[in-house]
Amino acid sequence: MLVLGLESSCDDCSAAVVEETPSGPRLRSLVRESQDAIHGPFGGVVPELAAREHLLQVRAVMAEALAQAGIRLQGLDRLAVTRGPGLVGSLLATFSASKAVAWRTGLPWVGVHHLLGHLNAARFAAPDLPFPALVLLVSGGHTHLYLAQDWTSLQLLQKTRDDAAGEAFDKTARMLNLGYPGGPVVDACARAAGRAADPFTPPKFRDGKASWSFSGLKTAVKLRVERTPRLAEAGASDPEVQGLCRSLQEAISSWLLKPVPALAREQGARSLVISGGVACNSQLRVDAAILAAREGLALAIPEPRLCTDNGAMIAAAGALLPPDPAPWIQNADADLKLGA
Amino acid sequence: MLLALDTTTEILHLALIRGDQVWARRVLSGVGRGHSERLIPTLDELMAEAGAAPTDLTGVAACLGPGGFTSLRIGVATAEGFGLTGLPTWGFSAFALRAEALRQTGVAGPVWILLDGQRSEAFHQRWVERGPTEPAAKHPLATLPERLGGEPWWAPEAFAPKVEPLLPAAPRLPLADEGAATLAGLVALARRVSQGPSEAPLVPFYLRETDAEVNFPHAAAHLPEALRKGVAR
Repeated sequence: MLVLGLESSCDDCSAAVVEETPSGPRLRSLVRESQDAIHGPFGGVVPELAAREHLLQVRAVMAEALAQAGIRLQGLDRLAVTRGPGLVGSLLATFSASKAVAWRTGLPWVGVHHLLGHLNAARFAAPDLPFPALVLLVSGGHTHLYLAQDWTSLQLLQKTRDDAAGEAFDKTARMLNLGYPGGPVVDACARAAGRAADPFTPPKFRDGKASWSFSGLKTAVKLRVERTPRLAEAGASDPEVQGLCRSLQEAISSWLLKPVPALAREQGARSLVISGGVACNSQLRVDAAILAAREGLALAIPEPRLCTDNGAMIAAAGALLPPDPAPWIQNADADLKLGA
Repeated sequence: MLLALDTTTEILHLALIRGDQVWARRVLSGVGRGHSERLIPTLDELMAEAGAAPTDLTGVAACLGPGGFTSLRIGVATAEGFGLTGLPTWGFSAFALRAEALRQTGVAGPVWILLDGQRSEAFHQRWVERGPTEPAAKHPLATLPERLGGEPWWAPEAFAPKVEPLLPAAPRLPLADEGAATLAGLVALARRVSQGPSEAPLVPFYLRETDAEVNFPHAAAHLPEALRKGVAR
């Protein structure tokens, strides 16, 4: 089965052709039009600009994915598109275009929950992943830990009570004037560090509820930069900046993974999936491998280009879901709930 | 069979055109995302009336704005999807559509076409029989009396009550049946633009920059025109 997957929930306009085979999904093409250069000077994604740019790109991105796969629209078996959650103006670009394509060609169409897409990004390299799985979805917008009984279900176990982990990377990069997006530049800086700066103190929650918090970490970085103002201008080659980045990502990685062993035992999980943009982080990937080996969990982290938002993960999830009998009346949903 | 569509306001305007025959519909979808749920079902209804199938379409002409940002994008993105299926696509401005609707009822101009720019502003353009006499612009409602200088004006039914009290000296041009006139204008304009070269991608004409550009002009210095006010036409 050949699926064209489309994703434009935030600031990446992406399309991919995925072939669903008995041995799992195979990537036939992947096109991703990044908007980093547009949003970079603003220090974060500007929703209206994102929507405007998606509309300018959507036709060419879809056409390029088909061309790279050497497939015509008529050769496809299905269209899959992100229905939500996300920025509604952004979502509507691929959502509206895909409905028009489905209507004109008669191709089956399926709307996909963005987070099911991130889960299915792991299916490319680990199609035989043993379930149940703990699924850590972590990006600039999400820091959620789920239990999955299969590739099409996610049950929330815990989440951040404020910022997403990716936000801490972006804001740190901004305070240190390292560029945008923050994840890759902080990672590069951290890897160059001779040693880490003082560790950050993990937050404690009086209510005892299992969750994460990353807003305090943002403040902690701010205080350190205020204490040593030269850090804001020192740049990526400065050892102190590098050390600060190292301790930041050590903190994020260890905090993210901390609840995993206990929850894995409690839930009888057999594997750990980590996906979303922050899953590209080198520290998190190394720490997760060590933890998974120690706990006897199968580990699945997609290759970096499939960790960030992309059409391939939507195609892979869409291949497993039933097509919608009436796509025309569907709407993109900024707050789409799982299972909706 | 040509499809003509306008989603720039809260009213969805759709028309199918085959030779001299026309099947057209006007649906109140509401501002924003409503068009997303109404557009293709309405198209299906028209197709059924025409006894046609999706494969009978030969091209799409879409209104590119100005209008509601999300509203207009739903129509343009739909046209872009049709474009991917191999259909040629054409675009026209909301001013051209309104001018054509007026022309269909015998109004030759000069006439100021006033559209709701939100935030106490109007999008406006002055038209005569041969076309616009100046680029479309956006200005506070309060400046309209001076700009119009007593010339006739027209605004959509939903917007006219906001400007009429400001323009006691300028005659408001009535459209007895705005819906029918708009659909007639849509059909005439789609027929005309589809005689010219097709465009891909269709680039919206927002006429209003994003708030980010207003609030952070230095950060916006790198933005192309298509991401600022869109491409004027």
